[in-house]
Amino acid sequence: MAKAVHLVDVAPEEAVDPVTLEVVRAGLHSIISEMSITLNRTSYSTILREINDYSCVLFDSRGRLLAQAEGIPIFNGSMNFVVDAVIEKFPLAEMEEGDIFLSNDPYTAGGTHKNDINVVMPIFWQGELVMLAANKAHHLDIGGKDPGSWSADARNTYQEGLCLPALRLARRGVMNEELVEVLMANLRTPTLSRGDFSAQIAALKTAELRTHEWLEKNGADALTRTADALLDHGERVVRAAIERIPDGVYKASGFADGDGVSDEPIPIAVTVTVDGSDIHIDYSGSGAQREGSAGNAHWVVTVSMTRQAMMFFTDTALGGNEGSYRPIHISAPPGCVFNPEYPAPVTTGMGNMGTRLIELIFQALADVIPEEVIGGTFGCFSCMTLGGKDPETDGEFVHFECYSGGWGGRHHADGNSATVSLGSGDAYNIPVEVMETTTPILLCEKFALQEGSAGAGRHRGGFGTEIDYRMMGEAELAIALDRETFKPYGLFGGLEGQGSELLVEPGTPSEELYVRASGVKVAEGALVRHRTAGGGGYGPPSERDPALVADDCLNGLITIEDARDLYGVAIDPGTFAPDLDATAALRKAQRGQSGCSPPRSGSERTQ
Amino acid sequence: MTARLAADIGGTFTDLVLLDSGGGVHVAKTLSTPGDFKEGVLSGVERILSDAGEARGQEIALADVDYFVHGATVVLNALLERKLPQAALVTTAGFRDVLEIMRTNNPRMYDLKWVKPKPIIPRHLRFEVAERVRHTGEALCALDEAGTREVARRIKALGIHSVALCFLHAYANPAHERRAREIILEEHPEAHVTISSDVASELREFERTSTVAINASTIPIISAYLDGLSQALIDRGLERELFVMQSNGGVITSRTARSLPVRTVMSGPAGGVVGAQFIANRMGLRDVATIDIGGTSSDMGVISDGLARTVDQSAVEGWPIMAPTIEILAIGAGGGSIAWVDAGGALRVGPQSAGARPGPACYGLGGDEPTVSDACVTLNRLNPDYFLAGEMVLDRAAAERAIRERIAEPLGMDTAEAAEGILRVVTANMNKAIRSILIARGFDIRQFTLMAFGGAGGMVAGELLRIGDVQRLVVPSNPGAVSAVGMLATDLRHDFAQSSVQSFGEVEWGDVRHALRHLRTLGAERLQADGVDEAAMHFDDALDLRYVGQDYYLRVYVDIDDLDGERIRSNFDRLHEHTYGFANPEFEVEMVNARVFAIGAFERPRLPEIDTRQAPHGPLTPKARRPVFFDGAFVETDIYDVTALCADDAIAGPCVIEDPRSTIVVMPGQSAAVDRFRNLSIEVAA
Repeated sequence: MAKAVHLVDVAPEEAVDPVTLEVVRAGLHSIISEMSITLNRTSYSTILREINDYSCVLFDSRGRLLAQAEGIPIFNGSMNFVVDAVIEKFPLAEMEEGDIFLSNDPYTAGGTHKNDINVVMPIFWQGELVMLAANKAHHLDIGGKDPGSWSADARNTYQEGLCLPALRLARRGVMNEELVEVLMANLRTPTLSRGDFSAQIAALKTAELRTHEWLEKNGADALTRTADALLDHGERVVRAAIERIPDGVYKASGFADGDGVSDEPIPIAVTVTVDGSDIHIDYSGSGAQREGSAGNAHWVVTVSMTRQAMMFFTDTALGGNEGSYRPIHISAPPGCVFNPEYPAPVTTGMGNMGTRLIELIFQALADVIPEEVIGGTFGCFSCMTLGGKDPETDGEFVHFECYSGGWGGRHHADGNSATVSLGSGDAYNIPVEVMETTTPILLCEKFALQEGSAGAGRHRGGFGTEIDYRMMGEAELAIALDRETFKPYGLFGGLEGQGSELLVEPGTPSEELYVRASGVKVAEGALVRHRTAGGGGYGPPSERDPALVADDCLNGLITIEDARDLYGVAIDPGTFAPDLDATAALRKAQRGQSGCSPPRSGSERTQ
Repeated sequence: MTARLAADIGGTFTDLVLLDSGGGVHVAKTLSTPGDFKEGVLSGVERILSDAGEARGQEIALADVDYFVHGATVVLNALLERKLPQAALVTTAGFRDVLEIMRTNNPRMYDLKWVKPKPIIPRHLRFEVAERVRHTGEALCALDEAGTREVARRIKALGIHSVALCFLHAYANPAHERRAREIILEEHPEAHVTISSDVASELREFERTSTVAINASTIPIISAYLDGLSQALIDRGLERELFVMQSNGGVITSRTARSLPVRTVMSGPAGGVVGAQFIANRMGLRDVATIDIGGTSSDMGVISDGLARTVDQSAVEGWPIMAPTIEILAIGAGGGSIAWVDAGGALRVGPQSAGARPGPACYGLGGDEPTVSDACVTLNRLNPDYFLAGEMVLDRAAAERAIRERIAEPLGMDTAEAAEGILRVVTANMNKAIRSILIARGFDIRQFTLMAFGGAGGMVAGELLRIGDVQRLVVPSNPGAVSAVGMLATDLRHDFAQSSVQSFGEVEWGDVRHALRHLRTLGAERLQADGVDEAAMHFDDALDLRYVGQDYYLRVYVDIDDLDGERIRSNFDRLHEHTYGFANPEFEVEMVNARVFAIGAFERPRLPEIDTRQAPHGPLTPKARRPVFFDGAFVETDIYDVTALCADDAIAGPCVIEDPRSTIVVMPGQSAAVDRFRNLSIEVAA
């Protein structure tokens, strides 16, 4: 359907030519990637140096998000809140060269969760503030009730760690060392955090240096003239993406597993209204905010995750900017799980509820853009923390990692196996050899794909993972999983994936299942098994190419019985070759008996 | 008459360089034959020998070639096309899926259509055996020898002859890997077993597994290729062993290459940087960023303080390779890169490329997408009648039409302006990549000279200088043959590393010396086997150090006979300050790896020199003039033939300098100076 693209009001004589636009953009992206390199190379903790849990961005002189490149998607979509809060308290006109600001509080300072510390620095050129550089980085621990500050069962924001409203960390180049001291005194791993903190500041300094070089060559005028055009271009790209979605009102609803305090299912709902090149996404109908942390997505996270969901349908090779978000309108009733009120806990809900929200949007739009959405994923970040006292050093240790799982099948291919969550982007795992070197108290005994975990379909889901840790000493465990009860959904007849779970001492009489918990004491010698869900399938399993089913059997990822029962494919147990005649007969017989449609993981789509 | 010969086999063309003992340099270019690369090499060899013989008036035969080196493009190509023979992988029990899980990241973070690469070795050919070593080297669980034997039998029964072995923490204690190799060879004597502690004795299981898996999977490929080529060359009279370029910038004998193909993956691009290093050294340039611009991509490299920089890890199509490699950053921007208008109305160039077929619209082979080459033709910077010395006539009308219809009209621009815009956007992207490779090392781009070469290097040289952040740009003589020159301008080299993470304060320097000596012994053995005299052997020793808690280490070169902890420490702090802008002398440091680089020195070639302009030459005169589009208008522009240039000539832009294999564009406001090797230095005119 043809609809007019809404063009931004730029007088023709002011319009920046498309060539200059690209040249300036390349310059800005260069500065951002240089910030990222500095942050990564000089950081100390595994979460920054291995996992890359940080993002660097640039704002224009009016505090508008100008450019972002690589990094954590959920961070990128939230950084404008951080800078808005800083500017509100420290007006741009009063900022001075050498000032640095920091924050982490979702409620007052636009933070995502408290471990994520934001730093912001104005960049001056010839006495004028020309840009703001900012970055956000996840600190291994920010205090609070449990090691790693990742407590699914926290009942209020105070239990989730130290709160940093927007504060001035440095004034005219002089650091407020006392503030740093307060910060470090509240963390379980101050040495790592101090190093990571230096890395964040080094990245800001890199931005300043590179910006000055760029301005020397190109002039400040080039930057100010182009800023509007960059944002307008970002807007047009997203509008063009929304244009492709037919106008209409699309709904989806379902349940998240539980909030960490209670396993009572959490109702979640979305209404997506497409109107020309604007999209309105509303979360009315979702449940009231919950007592436990895993059940609440702070408004900043809700906005950021919603933006990211839309970025999945957009040409984003250039990264988004503030203009990209103009056509995306978001609402959620105050006091609901997607817009909780102070002092609701929100740390683990960022992963659990935030990821669900992206998938709800996929489900709502599945029928109108079936080639662009995917089946259900393993869900949230699946973070696990093991922390305690290191007998060798007598200091505190914290192992914190976001795990990977299966992604849903899609129109053109199977889902990816063992990939980080929808909101985690280019984040990496911690290599087993690195983990054992830094945290000798953990011994990994298995690091594998979870066989049979993928949802069957014409294009099956990806496989989740199964990772076993043997405890060489005692520790406290915290876990925040989702998709244990409500499993990754299938689409268009695809089946759901197998759920996530964490088992302590599996297969023994003392086996315990944990899904969302913290403060769990794990004894020396115990085995901890972390399993993530497989992705949901796409399309009926009976339409899957028998050769691909045979391939999965040969590789031991599914059994010959699954091939027969789920896919209707007969496999020769000796050669693992598909028997095409027997398969045709099997599939015919199965078509005869199936009248009902496969389950859909508690999610409903309506139009 | 003796001669040294190098062949750089690219995806489209094979470039050859022959140096005769009289100091003559001969260059040839032939089409590559991707079906069987051997054929292209053989026809290139035939051609260059006859050309060189003719030029010298004295026949040169293969028997006169006492050194023949070439790039192992077959290995890279097999990886890019994923045409790999079956190999098996054996891992510690519980870890066979490490290869398939990879590092779990999603490199295209907003792209739901991204498909994770299929594992190099499929799951049904990945086997597990019980054994476990800790990070300290302590064996927690002995190797299950019976289980290993059983696995070996299964591999043999499957008819697989190449086996990769990667056990957890094998870098800290290789005993289990070595024993398992023995057992596999006992059961399956025809097998070739690659063990991770030999190939990449460094921390990180996925990267190490990927490295051995690539090695095992490409052994059959390189063996078949080298066997075939060696035999064909011997049949034609070659009496010497073939040498193969490595990713690290040194060469190895083909015998070594057969068991370590993973070390040769980036040989072509590495040759380019080494060639640039050689040329830069002759020109007296210490700090040079290099850009090798081809049809589909550009490869950047860095030469600092006269030396090509290396990294310890690289990747091909997402598969990491742990091996010292000349640092190369490849981006999808070249002569064939396609320009397009995005949904937001911005002009973008690449990463899609028209490739060699159908190629740019101007090739007239059915391509209708506007490319960088089409922009050059539209602007009249590229002479349609003199492409590859006139062997191919370019279709200017088709180039113009593609740019007008796909770019100019949608953007409301003039066709020539749009073409100029395409060049500015693609060079801005190249500049971004050059910056990022320099900054990763803490270098200041303004201190660097940019050396642009490869088929399309000269074409955008002037634009690169204008848009970029460097102050000076060099286009070397014979820009298409730089990689082959590099292969003739390097040494035999073997790299050895031993991971051993320990606190710097607790380091026993006697143990370090012992470890370095051991690595040197391995190096000397390897060089001796290559036939290198002891007098020509040379060893560099280094330690990789970092602040405790950091991930990335920095390499500090040390004197094996004078391991002074304090000095090493202060050298590290200084290096950290230089690289990252700060140092923490009070922080604890740890040692990560000990490294030895074993080098067997070769004589350097001499580059031919040209005369300065004397009376007989007459004044420098253009061979033609034609209108060329610069800065918004067509300007009548001088066209020079490269062979008309003499040493110390200076030419003011705008002008175009043509040679049979490339075109160099000097922009208005720039000037070019010719040196005695016929390299062109382009600067902003004073």
